[in-house]
Formats: sequence, C-alpha cells, structure tokens
Amino acid sequence: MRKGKMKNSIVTIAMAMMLSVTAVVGFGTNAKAAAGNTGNKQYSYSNIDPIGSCEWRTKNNATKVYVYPTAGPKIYYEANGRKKNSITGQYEKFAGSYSYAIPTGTQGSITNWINEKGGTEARLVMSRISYSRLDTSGVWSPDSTRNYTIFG
Amino acid sequence: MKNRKKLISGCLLGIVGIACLRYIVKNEKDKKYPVERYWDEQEEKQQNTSGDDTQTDCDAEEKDVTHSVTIDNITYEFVDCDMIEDTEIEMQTRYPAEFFIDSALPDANYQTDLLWDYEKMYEEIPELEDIKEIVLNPYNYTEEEYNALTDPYARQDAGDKYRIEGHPKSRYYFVKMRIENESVESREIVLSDLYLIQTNRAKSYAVTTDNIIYFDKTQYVENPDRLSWFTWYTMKPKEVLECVIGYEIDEHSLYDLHEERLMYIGTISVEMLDSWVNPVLSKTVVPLYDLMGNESE
Repeated sequence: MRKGKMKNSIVTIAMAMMLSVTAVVGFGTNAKAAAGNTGNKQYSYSNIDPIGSCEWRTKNNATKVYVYPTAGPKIYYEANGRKKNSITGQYEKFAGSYSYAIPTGTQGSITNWINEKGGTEARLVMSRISYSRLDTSGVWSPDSTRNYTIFG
Repeated sequence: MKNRKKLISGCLLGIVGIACLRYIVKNEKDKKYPVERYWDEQEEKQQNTSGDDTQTDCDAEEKDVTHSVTIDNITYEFVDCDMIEDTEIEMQTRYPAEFFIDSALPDANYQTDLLWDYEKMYEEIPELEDIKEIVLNPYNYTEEEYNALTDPYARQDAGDKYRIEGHPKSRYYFVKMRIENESVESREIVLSDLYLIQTNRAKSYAVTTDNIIYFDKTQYVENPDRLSWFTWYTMKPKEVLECVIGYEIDEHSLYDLHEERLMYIGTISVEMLDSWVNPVLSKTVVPLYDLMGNESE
C-alpha cells in the first residue's frame, strides 16, 4: 500500500512539473521585443563649454544607458529622452535621468526612465565640473546588455 | 610733459583694450558646441565636398549621381541595396543568422507597445484631418510654420490613450558596400556612423536609423563584446573591405501612410540631426534607391 502511495506521489509530481514547463514554454508567451540599440558610438565634449550634448539615437528598451569615458577630465552626464507627439509628430524632449559624475576609465550604467515615459530616442547631455581646455571623450550606447557601475 | 605722457599712455591702453574686446566678441560669435566642431572636422576632411553645405535636387540631376562618400581618407562605396519584408525575414537564406548582431534571425512577429491606433485617433478627433497633410510632410514648411499650424492640435495628445500593443510593420535593408582605407595607417571605423534614411522624391519627410543589426565581417564574434562593438572595424593600411550591413526600419508612425520610400545612406552631423532640415541634404549622404532596381514602391 505504502509503495502504491509513493508511486502515485511521484507520478503526480512528474505531471505537475510537465504542466509547469508547458505553461512557461507553450502558452501566452509574447514574442520578443526589438533588439536593444547596444552598439557603441563615440562622443566628445569640450570642457571650455558649460554644457554640451551628442546626437539623438534610437532607444529600444528599458535598459540602462551605457557611458564609458576613456579620456579627459571627469564630467557630469545626464540621459535625455524624446518622444513624438502622437498628434503632430513633433519631438518632445525631457530629462530622462538624474545627473552623475562618471570618472574616466569607469564603465557606467545610468538608470533612466526614458523608455517608461514613452521616449524612443536618447542622448547624453554633458556638463563640466571645472573649466579645462581638455576634451572629455568616450563611447556610449542608448541600451545595454549588462550593468557595469550603476549610477542611480 | 607729465600730463602729455599720461594722455598718450591712456590712449594706447584704450586702443589695446578695444582691440581685445573685439577679439573676444568675435571668438564668442564663432564658438560652436564641441560635437559641432567634431563633426565639422570630420566633414572638412572628406574629399567629396561641394561648395554648398547641402545638395539640391538640381545638383543631383545635373551631375553624375555618386554612390560613394570619402571621409578622412576612408572611402565608402555603396554597391547594392536589398529590401526584405518582415514577413519574409525568417524564411530568407541570403543573409545568414550568424551575421545578425544577436546571431539569430529577427523575430518576424515581435511585439511592441509603442504603436499608435491612428484609426481610432482620427475617428475620435476628426479635426486632425485638417493637419494630416502637414504632419505627413513636415519639411514642406519651416519649423516656425509647422509649429504654428500644429500647436493648437498638439495639446490633444492624450499620451498613452491611443497606445496599442502589436507588431510594427518592419522592413530590413541590406547594403552591400566596399570600404577602402586610403591611409598608410591603421584606422578604426564605426559603421553605425552611417545612417539609413527613408524619404520621398519631394524630400518632405524623413525616417532615420543608425541601428545596424547585420554585419558579415564583424571582428567581434563573441558576446558581450559583439553586442557593444559589433560595427567597429580596424582597417589595416590600404585595406579594402567588401561587406554587407543591415538595418531595420520599424514603421509605427503616421509616415507609414507614405507610399513612396526612397532610401539614402551616409553620415549626418549632430548639428544637422538637430535642425529642421531633411538629412538627405547632407553632402555626406548618397542615394541607395537607384541601386535597388525599383525607385519606389
């Protein structure tokens, strides 16, 4: 009798496991979203100017903005977002993150809310910590595949 | 005598001061943002320059249409452009999965919640028909004219009210190109500096993307480097690289209604990207549509 009960339990557990796997794999799964725009592009900022920005790039998902300063003085970075007005097609810009000072040589991941606010494009807005004739440069991407040193 | 000396010294100081002030004012006027200087330097280095900052339709028709751009001793020659619909991308065999950025064929039916239900929007706000032609063709107007005509309607943007989830119609463009490093030094190029641009013959609208999802000669094969450095390529001195790059253009805006899609490719300065100018007018942008066989759909 005990053996029979044990066998029934094993069968029950096995069926439950199969059903749970089926639920995860088979039904109601959404097709994956568009791939993130994770390719790095260069940016450059002159510390003579109080503020500067790079080009707008497509942002596809809610991952962090990646910034990797490779040369020059430490500066502040803020991720800006923009989205199109559904009626007029005009772009509306907005602050997409807080401002963070990222040291040269540090790979930074900036927490942002660009995608959550409906933004479809992102750019870096940079500002100096102190005046310098040296440029700060590096690479960045609007989306990322992993987190590095997190800011925010 | 002393007074005369003081007077002469004062005049000399005044002249020097005025000269300094004029120099400073001139410098302030000429000052540009760093990214503008950076891209201006890139454009100045290219060999295919014209006297104007932008091309015109007349220029394109009168001169031989070029399909190459030279920037800082790197020549990009565009040879062919092939378009594949999203419904066919998973079935095609011309562009293997291994050369896509995530080493897999794109999902033909991926979902996004960034679509707008224009049918419902126009049904509930019928007065939008008044500005439809304007919104579809923004470059037919100056920025001031466009804003003046559309601002009264902008406040009707109900944010997410008309957002729907679904699959945006997508097209994949594969560009065959030949890149030559004319320098005697190794050079690092970033292919995502090349924007793919969609517009019409009237150049009244533009859709741009720099998101390259396919590159058959990437030097970064394994993740995570692949996803970050996919389009970076170090060219040896005098190297000639023949390759294919691929872009995806999602159509989830009102521009879907444009039946005419003419494709262009090239680099665009940050200044131009931020301005109210169709980027195909950049002197470093060349047509691709005439390499596709059909000029429009």
